[in-house]
Amino acid sequence: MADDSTVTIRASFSTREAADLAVEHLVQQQGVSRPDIFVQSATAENTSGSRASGGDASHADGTRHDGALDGDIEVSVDIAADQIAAVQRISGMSGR
Amino acid sequence: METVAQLGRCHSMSDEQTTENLEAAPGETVSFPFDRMTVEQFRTRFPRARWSDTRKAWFVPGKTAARRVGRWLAELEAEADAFADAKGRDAFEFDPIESCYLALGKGGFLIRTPYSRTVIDELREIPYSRWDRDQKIWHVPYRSYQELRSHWPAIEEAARRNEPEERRRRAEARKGSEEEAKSKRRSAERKRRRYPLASDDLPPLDRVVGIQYGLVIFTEITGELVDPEAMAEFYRGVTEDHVWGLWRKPRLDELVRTWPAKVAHAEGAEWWQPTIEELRPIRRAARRGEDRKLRNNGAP
Repeated sequence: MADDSTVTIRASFSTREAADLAVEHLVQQQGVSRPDIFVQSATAENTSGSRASGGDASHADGTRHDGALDGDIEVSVDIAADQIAAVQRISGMSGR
Repeated sequence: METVAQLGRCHSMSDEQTTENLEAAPGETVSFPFDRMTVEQFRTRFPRARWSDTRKAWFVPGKTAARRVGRWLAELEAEADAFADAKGRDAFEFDPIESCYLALGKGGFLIRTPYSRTVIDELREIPYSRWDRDQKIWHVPYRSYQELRSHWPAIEEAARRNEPEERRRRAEARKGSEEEAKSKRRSAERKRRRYPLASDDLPPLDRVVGIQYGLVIFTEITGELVDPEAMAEFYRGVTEDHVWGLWRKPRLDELVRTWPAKVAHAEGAEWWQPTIEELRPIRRAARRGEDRKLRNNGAP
């Protein structure tokens, strides 16, 4: 079980897209179990990122800013200590 | 430390000139805690390694560098583990834990207790502890002795409390008492999978929320009014404005999709968005449940 050799690594992303990509990398490249990855607002506010992305960014009438752009999206992952180096290679993931 | 500093300086001169080359050259960057012995071992093993002041790390050139460095780091770790185990073993001999639940094994302590949630939680707090499903025993390496020692009183007490005879004795004492009747009523109420909700503060349906029973998903708000007097025994703060909501336990995929709240809920809240601390153990339990289901269904 060795739960205690587990560390939590966190990273903040300015768009939902980037956060999703980091989650995919963690699961597909590093083999991290999806239930060990948490996605949440980096602040106390509900947010979809700190800048528009995806459909909002490429909107026909220009970028939309009416989404909940109230802060970054935080991805945190509980991993075994020996996975730290591999996970930190994923853009922006750092231990805390 | 002096040697380390000197080594670092020696290489810093050439480092400035070769930084760009390092970026392009095949090889592996490695950093480790600085102590003289480790640096000497490293220098012997990797004579072509260079110190990079900009990276504050060593650079080992070569296409197979990553593999060789990985092997060396693993050896280093194994050596450190052996030393820590010997230290833990000495500590145990000097100040042993004497208990019928603990035995000595080849690589560490073997712990077998009656089932207890407290024992499991306490043992999970101990670094490198491991549950052996086949032997139904906990393994704790010698290196974790200090942590085991500090958790042992709670483990021992919980184990004794959960001995079959002790449980039987408590059950006998409870029989026919008001406490037992109350507990049965509470259990029956919970099994009805309903929950009183303030009609002006209803939770979203089909989302994971926390209530007094843990994390649940509300599937329906029936609109039926709650009888505050009859329900006062089970729920606090129920008024005539409360209606019944029906709930079910969330599945693993639903727990995974849930975004945790950044801040804990207010005191006395009837329902709330769970925090990461609430979600983590529930997700793990749900995953264990899914794994168990797969195993029982004959999956590899």
